[in-house]
Amino acid sequence: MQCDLKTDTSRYARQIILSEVGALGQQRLKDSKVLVVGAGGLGCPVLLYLAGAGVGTLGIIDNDIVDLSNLHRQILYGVADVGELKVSAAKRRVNQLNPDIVVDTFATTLNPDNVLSLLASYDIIVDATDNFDTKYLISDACVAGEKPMVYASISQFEGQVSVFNHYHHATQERGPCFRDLFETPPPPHLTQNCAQAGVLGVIPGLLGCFQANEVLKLILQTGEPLSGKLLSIDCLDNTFHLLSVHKNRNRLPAPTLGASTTPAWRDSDWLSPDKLHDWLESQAPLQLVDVRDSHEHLHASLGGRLIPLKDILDRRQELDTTRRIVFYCKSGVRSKAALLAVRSIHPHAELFSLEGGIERYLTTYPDNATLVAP
Amino acid sequence: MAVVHFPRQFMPYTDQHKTHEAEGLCVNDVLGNLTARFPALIGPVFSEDLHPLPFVGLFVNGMPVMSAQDRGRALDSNAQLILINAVAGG
Repeated sequence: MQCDLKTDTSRYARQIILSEVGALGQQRLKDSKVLVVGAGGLGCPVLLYLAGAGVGTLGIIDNDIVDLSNLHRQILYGVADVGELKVSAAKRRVNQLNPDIVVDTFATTLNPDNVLSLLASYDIIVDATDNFDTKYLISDACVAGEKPMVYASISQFEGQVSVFNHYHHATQERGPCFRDLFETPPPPHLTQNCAQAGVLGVIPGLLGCFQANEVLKLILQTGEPLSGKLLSIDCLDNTFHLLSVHKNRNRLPAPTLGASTTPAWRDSDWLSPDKLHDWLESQAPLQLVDVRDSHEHLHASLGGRLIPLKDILDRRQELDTTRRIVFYCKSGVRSKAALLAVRSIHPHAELFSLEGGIERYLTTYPDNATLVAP
Repeated sequence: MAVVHFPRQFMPYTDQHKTHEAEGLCVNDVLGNLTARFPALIGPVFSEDLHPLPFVGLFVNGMPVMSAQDRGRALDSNAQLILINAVAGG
């Protein structure tokens, strides 16, 4: 695609006069294809600035619809867009800003089956997502597909931005990836998204602008990209830390795209009601831990120590990791979370979660509600 | 005296302190003194043997602490230890 010099000179005049851009740089921008995964708080400024700069092809992946609660930070959208697919509203707004660029839209979610094909035709991938599963999936796919990943994440007043898996011509090697920085995501009880933790609207705006800047530097082949670096920002006290990120040579590759490697859940972590009954009957050495709330415990329990899930790490000294520990709750959901939390600090402890919880256990063994394990 | 910087998500474990000055000749020493002062950091941030959990990054003067050698290396008198955590908001 060649520049229309008359139109482009006028539209892009203020950046073409930069020696780092020029006519050659503007042509590079026009020839580039950038995929933005997530059209939310980060994705909105990224898309606007890349469109404004004249990036020739923008892909947008998002399966969400515009909600009124998005508007304080997702600056592509207005009240009239509420209820519409974000990719549709985003494409319309982006093309209002710059009708000369191509906008591809994908109203879908990334998954291990579609990620490689969706990323394949783009030069640079922007991670503007809001969840760990997709971040690890994008990172693994960028490594597999040899694409640079321009990453950012935010939390309340803080944010991080980096460029992962960037090819360095000097070393003929790719830079570190997201897993080199954080090998695994935090367990669910330590994870909060914007809906849970809250966010000031300007924070994703700032971090999205940093991402757009990194994309433009990569395309223009100018400056020093944040490859092997992480910029960590606290906007409440204006603290900026530029941190080095190195490849973790001891890290095992992800077994599958987007795999969550630890804290690992194994099917063998489920303990059947029959097995628990056998262990209790034989007085096998174990610690039984009820992770429900106290009122549930008082209503009916299998005995053991009461440590509600929210307190499980604060009261970890009460866990006896020299014995098997069996966590139980109503149905198995909270006991699984408790097991993963405890495994994160005691990776070698013998931990089990009662399958189906106390509900299933008492269905099979209704007379055992008063069993008390040490 | 090393200065340790915490992300805001760790402040519930540090009595709401954003930074803390801790004595120590090396990273291991500093982390020992730090967790003695703020024991709630063990569990959500550090393992029982004071290793950062896999979703926590530890840096000294901007360089990552990745090995036992890094943890035992002598710190300069005004070392800055920076902790970050994996976040996913977008």
